[in-house]
Amino acid sequence: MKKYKLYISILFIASLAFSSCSDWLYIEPEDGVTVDQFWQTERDVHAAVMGCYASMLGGTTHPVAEAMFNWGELRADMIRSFRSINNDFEQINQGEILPTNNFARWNGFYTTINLCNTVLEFGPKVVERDGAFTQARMNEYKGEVLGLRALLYFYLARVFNEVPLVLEATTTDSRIQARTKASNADIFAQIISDLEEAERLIPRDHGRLEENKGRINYYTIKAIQADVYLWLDEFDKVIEACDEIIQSGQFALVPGNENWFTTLFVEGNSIESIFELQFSSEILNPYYNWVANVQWYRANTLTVEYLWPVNILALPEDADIRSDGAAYRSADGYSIWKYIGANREQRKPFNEATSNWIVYRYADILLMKAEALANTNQGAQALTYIDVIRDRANAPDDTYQSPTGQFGLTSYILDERGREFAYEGKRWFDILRNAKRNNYQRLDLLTDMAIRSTRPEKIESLINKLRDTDFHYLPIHQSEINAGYPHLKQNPFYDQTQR
Amino acid sequence: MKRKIYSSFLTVIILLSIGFVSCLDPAFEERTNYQELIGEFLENNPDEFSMLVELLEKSESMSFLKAYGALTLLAPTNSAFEKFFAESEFSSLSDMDREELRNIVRYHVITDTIPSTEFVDGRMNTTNMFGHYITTGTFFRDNQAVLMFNKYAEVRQRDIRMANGIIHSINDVIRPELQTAAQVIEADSRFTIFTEALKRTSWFDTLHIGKGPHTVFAIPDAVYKAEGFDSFDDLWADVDPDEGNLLDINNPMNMYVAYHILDKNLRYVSDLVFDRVGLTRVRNEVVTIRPVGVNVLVNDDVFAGVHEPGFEINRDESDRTVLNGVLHVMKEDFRIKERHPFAVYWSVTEQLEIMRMPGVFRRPGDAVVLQPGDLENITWTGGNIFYEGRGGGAANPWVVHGDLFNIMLRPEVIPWVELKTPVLAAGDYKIWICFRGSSAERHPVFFVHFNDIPLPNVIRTSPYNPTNRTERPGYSERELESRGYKFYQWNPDDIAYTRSDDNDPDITRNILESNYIADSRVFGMLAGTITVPTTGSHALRFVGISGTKEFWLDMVHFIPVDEDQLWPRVNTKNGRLVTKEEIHAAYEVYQSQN
Repeated sequence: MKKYKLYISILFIASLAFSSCSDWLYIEPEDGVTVDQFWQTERDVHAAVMGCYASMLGGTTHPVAEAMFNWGELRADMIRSFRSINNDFEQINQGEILPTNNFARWNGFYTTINLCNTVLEFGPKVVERDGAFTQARMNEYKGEVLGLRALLYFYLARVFNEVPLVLEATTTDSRIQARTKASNADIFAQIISDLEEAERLIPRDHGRLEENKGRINYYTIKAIQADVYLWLDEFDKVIEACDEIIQSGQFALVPGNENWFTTLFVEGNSIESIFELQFSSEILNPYYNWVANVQWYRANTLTVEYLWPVNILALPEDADIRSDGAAYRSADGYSIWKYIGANREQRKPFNEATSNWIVYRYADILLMKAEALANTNQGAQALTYIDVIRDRANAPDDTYQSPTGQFGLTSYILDERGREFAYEGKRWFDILRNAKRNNYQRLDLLTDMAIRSTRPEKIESLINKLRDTDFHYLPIHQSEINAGYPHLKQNPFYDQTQR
Repeated sequence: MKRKIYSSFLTVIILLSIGFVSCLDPAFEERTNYQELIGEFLENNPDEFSMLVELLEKSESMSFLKAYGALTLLAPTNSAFEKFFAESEFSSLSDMDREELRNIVRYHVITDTIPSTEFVDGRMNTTNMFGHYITTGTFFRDNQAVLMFNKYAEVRQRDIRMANGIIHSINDVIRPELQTAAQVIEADSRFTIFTEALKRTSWFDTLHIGKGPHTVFAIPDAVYKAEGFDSFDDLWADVDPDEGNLLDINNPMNMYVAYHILDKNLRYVSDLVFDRVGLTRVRNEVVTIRPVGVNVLVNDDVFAGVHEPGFEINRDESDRTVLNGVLHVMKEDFRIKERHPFAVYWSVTEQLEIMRMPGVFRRPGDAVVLQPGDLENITWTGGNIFYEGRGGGAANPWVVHGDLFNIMLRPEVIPWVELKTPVLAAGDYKIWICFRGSSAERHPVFFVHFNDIPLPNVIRTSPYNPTNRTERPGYSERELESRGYKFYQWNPDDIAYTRSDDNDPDITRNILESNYIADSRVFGMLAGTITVPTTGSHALRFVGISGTKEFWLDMVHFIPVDEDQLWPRVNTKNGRLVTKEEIHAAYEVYQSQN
């Protein structure tokens, strides 16, 4: 465990040294000689793959681990400004999103994508050089980075709608080029074909616990597929992918007892976890700092009250275990407790900010399946999966529903996902996915969100913006537009000349 | 000598050079940098702004936009002017006189830099040079979100930053609002009944001649029709059955109209939402404003524990700027509520934020730490305040609901605490601060301010001897009242309470004979008599003087001066009011059973 993490951190620093960049379009090319010298043995390939994961944790102005939180939470209704104001967040929260907003930076994503592309290009050459390195082993690595790249493009396609599709490594100056955006359909076609290839190549087991939770394996691919197909409304494929994970017997919910919070969130890599970004005492997560030190964000009490209605007669032991003391802590100024609690009552010190970022966990699989069932006229079955999640969480009757129609089920599942995955970077994607389904049938979900999230004097404008579907995607950051001139075009909402 | 010649020579040269230079300088440009200024930007983009440039030159304002400053220009494009001339009485700029031209310019220039990120659903923060506010808002038109000024001028390009300010280009000319509130209402055929009501009560003249600014809540005829009023006379008969003198400001109909006008205050909807309350032209009568989702309601209140549903403002039609104010349109009619002062027994810990904490509010458990800023309706500086639930910390069964606030009120720790009171009806009240005192020395001593006016009595929370029978035997509750003390609560578990009198152990007193108390540490002190000027929420502030220990705050009572200050008391178990007779009855039941 320790060795693994140490290894990662060394690699991480090493990768910084030769791949740090300010801008994906001007990636400092790894010098040709260095590339040739580096790719010699399987160890080098392994190191490069680990470097892909490590690059997600930091090293750029907007690394993947930060962007996953920001893109999933800042536009939604779960958080509020706390004691210090983050101007970029305030503007997003009020629907005043400019191309200069730093949360619109995608450089962290493209840095990791480039590292993935580098492995895909240079890895196969090592098979010829290192006699002990088999094609079969290389294929496993290939499956891993294809899966990771697909996951990253899936985020980009949901956040920006259309982005450049870069599939080859930028390793030298001559390969730098300004690119145009690929269509949303092309990006998803690439994601799906990458995942299908990865599925054939990737192992089910990497051997050690941390590696199984911290690296992409077969089940991670299945989880990503479920999520992708849910976004594309291909519900049968969602159910198929979820079923493979459910029937594998490799995963289970962490029991909702007194150790639930620490097992699932503080220690991490639990039986419930499918894929987590691995933070450690060498690389602390950024979330603790945002919540507890600079104090940018706290829980939005309006949403908290909506998801967990007040019942002043309820005893503490009757409360939903996911509410006070898990998602947030009321006695700590409604701080976002998931990333700062050592347990349900005590805060941990800053140097223990080692909570992982959970990308997928088993509860997500169950609720994704429920959502797919609800949309294929299998509502009764959907409810059984929701009940499993609610039973584990000791969810009180106040929030229990038994809707039969698809409309009611959608709201119910969305609320349940809000309770289950509070502050895990899911909320905005959950709301948008459900809102846009059936030709934006549920725009009301976005409207309700806006009413809870923004200031009263901005609500009307924000709601009207949210009715404009172009506004559902972030602008491309101005620095990228400048660098990509004249090929890279701003997203339509943010450039009146395109409308 | 040599030096002298030299210096005079120099002087001549200098003088000469000055002479020469002054003749040579037309080629110089007097500026310190070459960043584009607003006026230059307009000139450099004649495809879009040539007509605006013409307007600026004809009105002699161009130099202003080419000077340094901090401006916002709403720049109508050429097509905007074409649209304007097609729709207005003028067919070209040469039809307009200088003042008309200048009004148009003044209407489009704001002497402040306002980027689009600061736009709200309401007015800008600064007026234009005409003195009117421009409203902003994003609307949904033709499947697109569209940013508009004054609800009709669509923004084409926003936030063009120049060295002397910001340009927002627009596709329409913003028409100066030159009609008064009265004229606009009269000219609008939807408001015939309201117009007549204004005229008959003479408020029409105020809205026409008065500089204001006026904020008017106009009621469309359709709303009256829905209520069953087809004419002004129908309305009058309902509001003022006696059909008295309409010009009398105390006439109900006159007051009804005045209640729809704010007292010389310019409030757009976004301001009202922020203010939460507005003083009307009826003396000391306010309207309250509450946002509910996207809707904004007038007089949606909880009054004496009962929710009174409010009346919706038609936001699409409201925020209409007029020469002397702003006009709002109602979806429903509202009237003055006659309020009489009534007693408020306020359990201070009933704060929404605490009630939302599961398993905390009025529950057994540890104290909850509250930092400044955690509560919306209680503000303070300095250290933390503690909420102590049932039985936690200093809370005990003798405080109401068993919970209280623990406040280190003293200049060194928490110098002051300010509480927003529940809604109080206008009138005169006595304020009782009700707390758990202590026999120990050095619990806080503090002033009470009501709406920033200090009240006469200083509150001393320790030692509690003023009510202690040991030192002041035999004080009746009325004698205590005259000294500014009262027992405000009653614990039903004390019904069997009997004790020996402190001075004479032979005499025993039951609960009825001992001022209905078992724990005399919990009592109220009179802070003073206040006049609540307007019905609504007001500010109550405790300002620490000295002390080193805790202030255990339980309740504040506001009791009209002409009502009994001592009874009823508050049942500590359920917070209900309890009369002396009820306690007697309970005691009789107890005795008959034992």
